[in-house]
Amino acid sequence: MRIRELHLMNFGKFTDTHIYFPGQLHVIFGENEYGKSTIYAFIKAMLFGLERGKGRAAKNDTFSRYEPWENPNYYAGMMRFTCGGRNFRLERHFDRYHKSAELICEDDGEELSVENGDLEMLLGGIGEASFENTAAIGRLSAKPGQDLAAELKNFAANYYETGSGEIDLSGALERLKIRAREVQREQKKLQEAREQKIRKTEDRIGYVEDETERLQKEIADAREHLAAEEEKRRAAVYRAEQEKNTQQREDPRSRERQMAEQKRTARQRTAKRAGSILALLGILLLLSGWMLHFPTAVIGAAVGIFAGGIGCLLWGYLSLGCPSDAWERTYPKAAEQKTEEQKEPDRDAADREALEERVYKLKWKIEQKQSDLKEKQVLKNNLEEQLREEEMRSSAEKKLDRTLDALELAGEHLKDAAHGMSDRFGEQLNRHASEILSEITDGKYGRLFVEDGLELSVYSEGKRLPAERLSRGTIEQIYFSLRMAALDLMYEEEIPLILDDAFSSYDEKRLKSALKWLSRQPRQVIIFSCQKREEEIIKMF
Amino acid sequence: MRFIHIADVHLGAEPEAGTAYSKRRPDELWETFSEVVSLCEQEQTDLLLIAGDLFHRQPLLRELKEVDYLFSKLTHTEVVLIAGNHDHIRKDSYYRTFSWSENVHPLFGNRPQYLVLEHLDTAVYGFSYEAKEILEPRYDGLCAQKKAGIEILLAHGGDEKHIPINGNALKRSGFDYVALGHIHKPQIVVKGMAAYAGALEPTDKNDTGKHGFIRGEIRGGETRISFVPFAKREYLHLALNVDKMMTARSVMDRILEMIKERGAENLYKFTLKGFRDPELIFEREWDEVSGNILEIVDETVPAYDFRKIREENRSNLIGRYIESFEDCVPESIEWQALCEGVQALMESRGGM
Repeated sequence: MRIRELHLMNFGKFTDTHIYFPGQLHVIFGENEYGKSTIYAFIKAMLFGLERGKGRAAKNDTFSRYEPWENPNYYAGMMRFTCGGRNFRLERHFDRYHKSAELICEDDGEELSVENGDLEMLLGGIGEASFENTAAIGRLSAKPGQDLAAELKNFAANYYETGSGEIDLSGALERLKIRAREVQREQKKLQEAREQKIRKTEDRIGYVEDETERLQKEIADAREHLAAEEEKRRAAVYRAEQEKNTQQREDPRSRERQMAEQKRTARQRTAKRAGSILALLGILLLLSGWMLHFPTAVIGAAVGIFAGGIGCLLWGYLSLGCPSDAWERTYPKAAEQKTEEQKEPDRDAADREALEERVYKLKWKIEQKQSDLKEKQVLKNNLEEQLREEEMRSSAEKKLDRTLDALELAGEHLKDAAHGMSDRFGEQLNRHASEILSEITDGKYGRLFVEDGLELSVYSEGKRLPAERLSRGTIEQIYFSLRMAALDLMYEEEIPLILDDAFSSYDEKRLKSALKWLSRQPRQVIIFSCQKREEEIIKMF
Repeated sequence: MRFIHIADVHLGAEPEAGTAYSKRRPDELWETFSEVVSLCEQEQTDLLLIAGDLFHRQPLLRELKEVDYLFSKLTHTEVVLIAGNHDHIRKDSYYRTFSWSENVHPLFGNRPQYLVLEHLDTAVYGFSYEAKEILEPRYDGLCAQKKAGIEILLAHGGDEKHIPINGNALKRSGFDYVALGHIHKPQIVVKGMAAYAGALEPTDKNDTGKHGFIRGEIRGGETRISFVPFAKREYLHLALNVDKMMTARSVMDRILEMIKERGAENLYKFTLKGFRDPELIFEREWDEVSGNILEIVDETVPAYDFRKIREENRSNLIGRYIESFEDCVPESIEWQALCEGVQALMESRGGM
């Protein structure tokens, strides 16, 4: 690609200005404030467009910086260039109202579409950032607090590892680290939320444990109390038995019982005896009747046997039909009648009854508390199970583990790729840059070395010199060689090379060599300079 | 004979329900359960089958009392239940000692047992879990014993660690209906014969879809069942396609719109898919946007066309880096690493 003409219709300080590029090598000379950077910005705007920024950033973006000083609504330019043997005319309007881009092939009048990427294709896919980082070369400038040699080493190392001036390996690795830290933070947040849940469950368990302990203590106390009461009861029962035994001899109730017993046996005995007597009498009558007078004796005997039978039956009834307890059932009544006599033992019984009730109540209380206790234990087990579940990491946390793994893997691959890059591309770059350097320095520095992606040195007259020991001019020449070599290696389409004040530290001899080398390149070279030297040297070619 | 079959009620669980509903969610499980019991009364259902995991953990005595109180109000319905892996019958379980109302018939033995309900001419078979896991396929050999006109098996399990269940074995078992529990997603195992009622209410954020119970009738040797959605809430996992024109705010608006469409009572997990603007960053906490959002999974890929990027960067590190992940499968960890790395490289671009 070769730019033939720039027409700054209304752009920055320029109005209706034409710049022509007749040859391969072109120097634009201008003192400070001439507008060199405006022309550079114009070339970029023509090739890649110029968008108005959004929001706060818009205040001092490129768009507003080069907005025409006069008549800002007419913000436009035109460029003629040759590409692949064909001539093109590109016209762009940047202002809001007429925003447009028109690309026409001047050979056949064919209209191409910038929108659909026709221009991009002509440029061989190079984007604005790539263009700035590879085809536009200024002076090597050190960052504050860093010397130029270190800057060159950084640049070279990155170049060797990334194969590009625009990719920042250490920056990318740093970004991955920052991402990993973000992910870890997020993970920690999740973990903390989970831990908070765990603490809540632990608190609940603690509370249930306190309750359990309290219940256990209460049960133990109640048991102790119960044991005491039962002891009392045993003692009372024992005392009652003792008393019963001593009382039995004079106890009116037992005396009564004895009397009743005696009465009953006496009655039984009487009945039995009467029956036997009647029967015996009958048999006697029968015997005497048989001996004395038969009919009367028979009647008498029959009467006697009958009476005897009745007597025996009566005895039988009394002894079978009236079980002993039937009698006893009436007993409480007899006891009632004698309440006055029983005052002493009655108070004992009331005491015993109260004691009995206390024991019953205690037992009931213990039972209740034990059931409460069991409930608490089930609850505790449940909560412990819940705790175990909560202690497991959530799927979201595990997912972030995966993201961390992915970030680590990305870092590894990036380093490996960079390593492979410096092995393959680095070697090529080394060779090509060495050739260029050798030519510019008239063979003084024959070979460049970049080792371990960090140490940069040059071979000079059989000696190896580290970058730190080189002059500023030489460092800039190494930088220039590297960039030229990279540009050659990376882009097939020969995009124009723009050099902005790149040679100010060169001595006459090396500037001449550099320009000579540039003039032999197939690509178009545009040099911006605030010195007349370049122009003068080129005139001599 | 008309029945209702429920399972996996998980009373006592505390399901994740976002900042909006998590607090009241445990009560909702009780409410829905109570509503099913009321429905049995209202419809004069003959039989309520509970296929395990009525409780999320060991039931407390007071919880059993509450449940039995609900059952005791049924004037017509007989209730048969088994214990599942969650509420398995531990040594000290209240299940062992609790005395239920007359119409409640637990099959709490660990060996197969059955129960005949004479007036329904129905026999219900089943057994309960005594441990959290049972690895043997213990339902495979069981078959109906012809103890009544209608024969039902109440079963719980169906995964590797909880009695693997073989649908073909069930088909040959001779039961009129197999009421299954354990799998939370309602599904039919053998057509017209064996089905999972699914969890009555979804209890885990992955219990997506409708939840409820199975209503059925067995008459003349024929079983008809239908699933009845009954749960108060539903977990929805929705995908949202993001394109590179969308901003964080427009994504948020779209999400709120989708929630409005599907109901604010439901619980949401969104997965963002597609290609996002590489600069897009979601900064807000999603539960602040809407309390029923449980999770937003960002699976978007920065809108990079890897093939194109690789082509453009053939000779440099980016190209080589992309090459090093050749043939990686989308969604894999390598894929994720590829995206992260390219993004880091792109963002640091022009940094020199």
